[in-house]
Amino acid sequence: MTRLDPRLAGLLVALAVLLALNVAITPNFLNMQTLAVNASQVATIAIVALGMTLVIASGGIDLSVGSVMAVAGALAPMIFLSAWAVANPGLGLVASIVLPLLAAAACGLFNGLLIAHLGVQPIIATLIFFISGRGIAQVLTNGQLQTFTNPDFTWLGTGRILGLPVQGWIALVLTVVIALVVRRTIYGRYLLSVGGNERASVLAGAPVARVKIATYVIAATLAGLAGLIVVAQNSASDAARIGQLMELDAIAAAVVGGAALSGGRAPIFGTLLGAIFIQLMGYTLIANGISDEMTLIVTAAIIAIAVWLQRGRRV
Amino acid sequence: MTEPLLQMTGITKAFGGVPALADGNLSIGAGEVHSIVGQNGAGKSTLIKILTGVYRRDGGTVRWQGREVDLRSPREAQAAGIATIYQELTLVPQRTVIENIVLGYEPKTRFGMIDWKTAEARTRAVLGRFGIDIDPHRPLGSYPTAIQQLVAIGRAASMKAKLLIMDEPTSSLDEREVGVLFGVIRALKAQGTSVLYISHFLDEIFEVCDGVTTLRDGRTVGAARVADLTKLDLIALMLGRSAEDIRRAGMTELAGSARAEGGETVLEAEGLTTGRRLRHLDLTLRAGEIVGLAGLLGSGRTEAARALFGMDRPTGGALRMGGKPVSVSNPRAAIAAGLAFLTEDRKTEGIIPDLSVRENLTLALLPRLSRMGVVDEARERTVVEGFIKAIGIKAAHMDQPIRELSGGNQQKVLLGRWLAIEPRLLILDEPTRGVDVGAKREIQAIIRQRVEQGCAVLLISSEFEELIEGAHDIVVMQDGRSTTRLSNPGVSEDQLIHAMAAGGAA
Repeated sequence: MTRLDPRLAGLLVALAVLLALNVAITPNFLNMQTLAVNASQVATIAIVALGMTLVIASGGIDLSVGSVMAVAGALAPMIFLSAWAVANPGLGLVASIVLPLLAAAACGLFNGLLIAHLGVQPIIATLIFFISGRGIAQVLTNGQLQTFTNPDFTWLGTGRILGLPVQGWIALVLTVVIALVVRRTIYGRYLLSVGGNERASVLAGAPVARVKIATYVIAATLAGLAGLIVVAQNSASDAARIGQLMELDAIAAAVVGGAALSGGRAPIFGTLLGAIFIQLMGYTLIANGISDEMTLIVTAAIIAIAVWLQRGRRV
Repeated sequence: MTEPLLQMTGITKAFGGVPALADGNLSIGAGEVHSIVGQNGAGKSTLIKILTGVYRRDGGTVRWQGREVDLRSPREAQAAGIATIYQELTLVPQRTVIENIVLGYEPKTRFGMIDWKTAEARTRAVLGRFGIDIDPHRPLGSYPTAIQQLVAIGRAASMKAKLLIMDEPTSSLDEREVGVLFGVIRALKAQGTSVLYISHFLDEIFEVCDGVTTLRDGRTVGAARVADLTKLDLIALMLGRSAEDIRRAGMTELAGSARAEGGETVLEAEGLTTGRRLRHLDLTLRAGEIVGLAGLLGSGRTEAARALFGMDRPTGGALRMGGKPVSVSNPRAAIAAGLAFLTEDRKTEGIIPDLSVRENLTLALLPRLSRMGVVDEARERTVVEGFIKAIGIKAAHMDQPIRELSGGNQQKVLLGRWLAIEPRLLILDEPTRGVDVGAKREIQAIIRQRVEQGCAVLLISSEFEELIEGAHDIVVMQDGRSTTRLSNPGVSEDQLIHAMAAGGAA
């Protein structure tokens, strides 16, 4: 893996052009605040997109990530606002992070079991939680907005380390970790082989079902983490809105980053760059006074171009 | 004498300069059930595709119902009355039987709506004619494949097809369903509809066909009434031998003669059964020994390999390794037990196209190359480097995607994948098919070397030469059963062919 993937290189060039353009035309672009705003906005998308990239690499898709974010995001305040957590703030904080992540992982396990053992198509299997997950989150919170003041928890979404938002660091670290997992571990190798040719993988002894289940669990756990960050950022949890349309943003980032929906490729750094590119493109347009509506259209055009570039790559 | 329904004469067709058909002839009379037989690559499917308008012929004439025709597309062939029932069904499983029968030819009422009454009546008439007793209001997909296939046939017949082409129609049917299908074919025949029946199973041809055309190397080498042929005659014709030679060779039975003592028994199958395609497999494989598995297409060779490797669940018989009964429930378990299986279909069951030569080669070895789930890449590279040298894989470097390699080199990587796990038993299904002569010899040399080191090999091959020169023993399969075990040295090609055809010669 010494050679740089030409597409990753292309994305880097596009990003550099966009940065240069911003330096030239966007007022106050080179400024720590700009970086922080963008980083905090892109982090959650990037985190979810990392999991999505793994799922896409396995030959699947996960529509449930936004709803899983809502479930995790609804659970966290319920836990740290409970009487027990108020009495034990330290443990309460830990529980309000760990338990929602476990709940998210359980959602992923459900998806994975449906797909790997019952042979349900990924788009259908994950549609179940896409629909029901948000419902569950709203039932948990009685459909009400939960607001809170908990500086320890909100640090996850508002804190800074070396001037960069905490969630930006989390996204960066996760990118590196997952890239290493894909490149170095037996799981990563099996993931690419299962996505690349499932029959051949079965015959070569790959534990296909376990690999798929693990992939959906990882994707859901990452989505849960993103849900916690969103809640921390807002100091409020609105089950109806957390993670809405996130599945589409994540798929877009993965595709722009070079993931092939037919499976077998997991360009992790590409995904991060894809998320950053989409974010920066949106920022550029808005900062230069172009309307939100227009931004959506341009974003869509970029995705179309990315997909077009992907066309014909596979033999 | 009236002219036959179909008369194809001197058909030629080449693909990219390579002739697939040099002189194809086919004649089918009205109300005749006819078959075409030939080895792989004899030109069967090319001839049929020309008939059905999928390919355009380069030369020759096609006469259909007494007139010279030029069928330029499947649609034109269909309009002319030539219907094809494909192996993969082309109907709509979600819709009802009625809807499928009238699909595209729906009867209309005065107001342009579908006349369901007439449609139902027509459907019941079609089903009744073939004695298929099903509820036509239920979705087609709720019935077994056999019924779906019969409905497809009924549909074709109701569209006034003059010739029905059935391509391997029994491949997914059980015995009873085959019986029903044959009943339908006879009913069609009685109505004057002709059938072109393609099957690898010679017994079926003898049971249901009137005439048979034999192709070999792109030429029609014979057309005869089935009643005038023995199975041995037919096989001799397919293989280009004289039936008399084969019969004589068969007289000098060598089976059971003394042979060099093999190593310890690695695997033993006794009466192993997985279904209709593998009815009874007796097989003993010893360390340091190559056992060849011979048989015509469809004789159950690949099914035997699939059963040993845990891909098909056995329904009967016993499997022992090292003297102890084992049950191999999936390929992963088979690999753990020391088995390796180089499959016939390199593309769909072998390579992971986007992964590198290195990653493809170590796929089966990965568990042993990893510690705590992390792949030891340094060791991996050493292993791969060793194999690239040892078996002469020609790649730019080990990180090159395998899809960029030639077929022969891909095959070597896959062979390396299995040699790397140092199997006790290596199953090879047509290991040298589709690779060039040079690579073929190299692959055979590598296999021989492994056997000398004590590996047991089960070699499935359609090439007599490969079997006779390579295998110590040859087990012959017929209709899903292992029937004969021939011992080398001393097996002759004619003897082998006789054993493959024995049932028909008796």
